[in-house]
Amino acid sequence: MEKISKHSRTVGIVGLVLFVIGIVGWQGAVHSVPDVLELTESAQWGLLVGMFFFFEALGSGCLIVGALKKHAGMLTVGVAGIVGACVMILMDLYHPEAAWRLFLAPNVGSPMFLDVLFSTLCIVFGILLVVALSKGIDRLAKVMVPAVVVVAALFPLGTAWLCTTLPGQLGWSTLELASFFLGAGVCAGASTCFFKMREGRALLVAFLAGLLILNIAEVGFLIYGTAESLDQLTMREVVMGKFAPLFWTSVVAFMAIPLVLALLKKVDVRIAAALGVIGVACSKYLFAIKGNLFPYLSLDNVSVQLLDTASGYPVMSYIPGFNEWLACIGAIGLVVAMVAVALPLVSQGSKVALS
Amino acid sequence: MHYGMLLDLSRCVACGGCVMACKRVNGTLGDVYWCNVYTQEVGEYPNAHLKSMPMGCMHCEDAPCVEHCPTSASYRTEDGFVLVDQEKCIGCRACVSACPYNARHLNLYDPVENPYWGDGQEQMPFEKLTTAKHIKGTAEKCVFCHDRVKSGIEPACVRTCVSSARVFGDLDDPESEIVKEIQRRKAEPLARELGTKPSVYYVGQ
Repeated sequence: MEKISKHSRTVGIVGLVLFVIGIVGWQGAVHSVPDVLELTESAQWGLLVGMFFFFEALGSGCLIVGALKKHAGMLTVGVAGIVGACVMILMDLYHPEAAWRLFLAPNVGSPMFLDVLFSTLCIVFGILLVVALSKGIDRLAKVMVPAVVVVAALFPLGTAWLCTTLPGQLGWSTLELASFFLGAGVCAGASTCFFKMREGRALLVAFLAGLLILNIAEVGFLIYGTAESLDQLTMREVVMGKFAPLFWTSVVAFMAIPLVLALLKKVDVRIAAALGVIGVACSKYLFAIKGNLFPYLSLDNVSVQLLDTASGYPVMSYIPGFNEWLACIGAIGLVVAMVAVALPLVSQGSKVALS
Repeated sequence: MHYGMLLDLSRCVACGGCVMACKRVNGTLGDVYWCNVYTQEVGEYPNAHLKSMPMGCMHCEDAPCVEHCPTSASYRTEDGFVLVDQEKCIGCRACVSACPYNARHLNLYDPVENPYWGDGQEQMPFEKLTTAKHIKGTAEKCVFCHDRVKSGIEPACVRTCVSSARVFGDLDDPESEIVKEIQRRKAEPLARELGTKPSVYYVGQ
């Protein structure tokens, strides 16, 4: 087997160093008192869960596109993305040492079990398909292509099911979010594809337009929805409140502008694709924030001031802490390192299989 | 047997006695309050008054926290207590997110390093016993003082309530005081439309 190139090795080492820094940051967050990971009573799921959503979208999108195109490289990126998602969730747990219970003693009726199941299957089936494509095992590849597509589509849908069945989180109460999850996943995957495959500019345009429409549609719900409705409060806070700068920056800079760039044939499509991936990350982070904003609570004329933003009470403002950013950078480093090391090996394997 | 509670908002004077009794008996740490009384000023001077709303776990029959717990750490007993096995809790906060009543908390404190009464003060034996039950990084909530109830004693918040705003008893017993009061006063659970079937009922304004 040929050696991994110097460039890949350097990228891999840098990624691993970032991962170690992330682990140190995460440890710092876990041992801080009292606000571990800067989370509060009002903000239970923050940046790490937002990044889980992003890695999940990236991984499942790459797996779907990679399986359909039978592209071992894309599948490798997909598997690395799913591993990144799992790392993010493990870092988000306060007792990751007990995570074995998720596999050996799970509550199979819990929607979160779907995440555990499909993320595991994505990794296992993804690796099997990469091996099949690299080694030229056609029978295994034939079986694994539909299997990977199915589990990679079910993974984000399982998360959507988890989020939309949480009665305590109004920001995630609508079932339309399932399309948001799948759409964002395919968009992230497709956008990533364009780093490797430059064909199909129209496809990228369609995905970016889809992501933009999904986000603008939420603004539409806000404008034309019932103003008094509690679930409108969450979106109002994201679109017009404290998180508005991030929301509008993501819509304009990472969805609308890349869409225009993708339409301009003189512009390198990879620029639009890169911006699109950042757009998915931003929208996923805002999605995590939105779900946390306002717990449901009212009884006739009695309302709980602490939780009632209509009364002018200051709403939750969640800003990720330094250690949370370090943990995220660490997970990104791990994914980059995995891709940097695995991609050349997969490419070599593919060449051998083809020859 | 199905234990439940009736809260009479017209009787509650928002003294916070239940909050402190709960904290004392259960030794909850830091900013964690299993029992809480939210208050809100209503109206304008000279007709302003304070509305209060005692809150805690609703011990729902179809508890979303139990359904969403990925490790079965949250569970419901046959007699209606929704409890948490802290040894099984992985700290994912799915239950905290799932609770529409904001009744669950993640304990971010170490019982020894961060006692609720402040630094530099020695724990009494009873405090050592109660605070030791808490594990940092796990979900917590009102347990309806199930240890006391098993011993035939009412929950601390019920026993201490100065205005008798709380009634505790068996919802399955048609002759119990709580059932009679719920029927007589047409008490309702909070946010019934969510379908969680709470075991805590409210009446009054």
